[in-house]
Amino acid sequence: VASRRFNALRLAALLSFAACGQQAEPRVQPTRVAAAAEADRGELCLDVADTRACWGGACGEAGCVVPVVVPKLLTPASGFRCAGTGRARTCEARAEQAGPFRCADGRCVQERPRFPDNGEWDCVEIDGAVYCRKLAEAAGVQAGPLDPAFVCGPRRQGGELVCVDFAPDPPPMPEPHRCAVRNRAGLPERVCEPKPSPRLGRTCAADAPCDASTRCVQGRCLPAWPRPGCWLDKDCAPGVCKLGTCREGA
Amino acid sequence: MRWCLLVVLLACTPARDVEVRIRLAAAVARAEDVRFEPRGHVRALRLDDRGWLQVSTDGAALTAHIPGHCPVHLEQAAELVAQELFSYPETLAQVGYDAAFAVRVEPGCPEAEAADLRWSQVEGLPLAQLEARGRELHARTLPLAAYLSGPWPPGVVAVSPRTQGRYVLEAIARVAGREPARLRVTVTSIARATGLSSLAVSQRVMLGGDGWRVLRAPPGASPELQLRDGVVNFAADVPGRYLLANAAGEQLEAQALTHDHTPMDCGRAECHASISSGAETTPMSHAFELPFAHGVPAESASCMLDCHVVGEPGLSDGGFCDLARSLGEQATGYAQLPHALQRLAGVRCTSCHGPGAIPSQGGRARILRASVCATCHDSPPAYRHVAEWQSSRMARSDRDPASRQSLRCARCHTTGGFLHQQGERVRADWSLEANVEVGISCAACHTPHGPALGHGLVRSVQTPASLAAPGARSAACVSCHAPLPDELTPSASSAVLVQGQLRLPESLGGELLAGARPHAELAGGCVACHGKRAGEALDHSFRVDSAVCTSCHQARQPAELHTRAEAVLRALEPRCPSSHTGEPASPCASRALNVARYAARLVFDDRGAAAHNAPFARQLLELAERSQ
Repeated sequence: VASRRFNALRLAALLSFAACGQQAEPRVQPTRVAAAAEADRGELCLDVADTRACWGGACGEAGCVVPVVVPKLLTPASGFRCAGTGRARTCEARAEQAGPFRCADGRCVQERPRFPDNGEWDCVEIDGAVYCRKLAEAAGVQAGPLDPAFVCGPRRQGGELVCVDFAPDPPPMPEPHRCAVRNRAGLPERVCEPKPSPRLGRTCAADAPCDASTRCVQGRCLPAWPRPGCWLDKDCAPGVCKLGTCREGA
Repeated sequence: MRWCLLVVLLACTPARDVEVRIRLAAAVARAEDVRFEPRGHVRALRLDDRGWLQVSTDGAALTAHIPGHCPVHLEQAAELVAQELFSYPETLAQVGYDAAFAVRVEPGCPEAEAADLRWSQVEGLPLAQLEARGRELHARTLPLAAYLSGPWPPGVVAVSPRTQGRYVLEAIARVAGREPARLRVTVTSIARATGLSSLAVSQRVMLGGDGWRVLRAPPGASPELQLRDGVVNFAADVPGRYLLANAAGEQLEAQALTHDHTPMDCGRAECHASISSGAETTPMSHAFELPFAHGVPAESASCMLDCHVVGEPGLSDGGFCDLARSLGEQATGYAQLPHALQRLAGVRCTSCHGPGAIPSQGGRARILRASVCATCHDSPPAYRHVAEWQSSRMARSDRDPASRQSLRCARCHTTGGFLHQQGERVRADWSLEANVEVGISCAACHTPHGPALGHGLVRSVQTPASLAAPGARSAACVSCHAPLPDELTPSASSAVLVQGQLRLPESLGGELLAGARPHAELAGGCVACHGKRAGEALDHSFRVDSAVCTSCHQARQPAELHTRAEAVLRALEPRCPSSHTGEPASPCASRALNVARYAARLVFDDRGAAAHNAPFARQLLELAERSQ
């Protein structure tokens, strides 16, 4: 009996080692981690606030809603900021590339909001989307790669880069809010205040329609396929400029 | 058997992984250095390149022992911040000359309270009254006279790392059961200063002259104006223009801003597009990335943040260190930095030009002063360039105000004149540059914004036509050390002798003279001998170490050449006025005499003629002697 018990223990130990003996993998690795979005379809997929949309192919110009995927890691307090379509999708903690929010007196200010690269940019925030136009390269500074979560294109008039971000950093405030990019002594900052506002990606229904820059698709307010190329309506005449993309008609 | 299955079941029931993210307060080189108690419960461990430790455990209560940090207790999924074992100021900036200061080390947790700290000074002139009392260190900085001596002309006094009164103190902290920790504190008496009136907010500068007072300041400003160690110190506390006046009624307009508030759109097409693109690829622009690519040892990290980024550590100047502190960022590598920090990671426009506005037109030549480069390149023992240059004649080339008055002199006696002549920095009104003493400084031979030759950013300069040798080596030197093509008597000569060939001015027949040229093809050109130091960087005093000569030559060169040349010129004096005394020269009685004087002056004016090219010097003297 003792021998059988011993053998059983050995078997148990072997099995437990085989089944559970994962080795720790100590190494330094890049901050961006994979978060493959297997359900993505179409040609372009982006996070749109807290939802996700794809455009092109079966999703067409209006887009379709697809599941949001985040890395299988503890979600950072600042949340994940993700970019890329399908298997190319990667994420990093939002705190890594932008300044923290400082909240006081009911409003939150992000003193170092993110820009598409380290050049000089002019940015505005409308309906929860940030869009920017490049003013100049930062003198003597290599521009570096564009932030992959921005979608960019050359402006129709002028040719400077216009970029749009449908999932800017959310402020740490639970209530509906509206953010705006402002200049404080020449330095841009994002100021978020509690204020009901039409927002990208919010839920919609017949009795809760979307605003003019989005359409209700599968219960979410989605912008049309983003093809950044405008800053002002005059760039799109006779059309209009909506969130950096020219649209037909007024 | 049931018992056995129970064991297997218990052992293999996949306990839920617990994910913990730990924000490290200080850099940790390797994840393997983190120790967990009890052992064996960590399933995965990752140290990412932004200073986060990600731990996946089986859910057991664990304690992580991270080098340099207090123990961190992990039990449930969470995002934690690891407290540093000790908190202390890494930089005590601008404490003043001859000023008492104290460094206090605070334990971050009970484990650190019993630490044994041993203090020592590891850099700088020995501090006076250094006294360590446990976790506190008290000392007094040295007086200003130990570093700089006045009087200074009215305006901002330039301060370099060598003169800022910089000290590095180190404490070895021993905590039971841990590797000893090394705590480094850098103390500065004052911030570095370019000498320009374009200042950073919070940067304290010394002012030359007496009785300074603030005439005008921006709204809300309370500028600091104090007499410290016998010198007036000024610091702007808010951005804007400040107008100051001294006892003599001279005014100084200073513009203060923070580095991160300064727009960096200088490279717009209608402004400085070529300068901006030229600067983008220089080693200075990449000063932050390059060392990281080669691995920065911990003891060099503070030095890295002094001169490889924008701004002064310890100040609220919107520089790299200031912004990194407010963003809670660690400098782990360029690519990992937020864009706002990438803009400040390297030597950028405001590092030299200051974050304030462009100075008034009369003061713009100050940017050409060596004191601007000295804020980094006067930091012995690594950087001795500026101190060496200051001992050279080039540093004094425009001390005589007459040398700055006409462009003909200024082209080789002032940096502004040299650059104007080269078409690099053309000024419509030359007189505006004439009141600033600069010398032939760094910016004459080096260009921080290209186009440059090689790693040393040596300026690309055209070879003068008189040398008849396009593309001659050391063009930056020879453009001033060779005669101008139209001169009746040569204003400079040594490059002609080294080159061993010369085209005479058209007025003297335009003949090509050529001879032996034993040194013309030396690798490195002029600096193959001038400033050459075995195994070391170039000596910017440009002195010739005689060992460089004797490595090839057995004996000293004869000194008879100068005597012969002087004899020819004295003999010519009656027929060629001012032959011996120099400019302005009047034409001689004949073209042959003009040629004789020209050839003799080439040898006479070059004190190193014998070393540069004795055979060609003799050839020139023979020509002169034949023609007189």
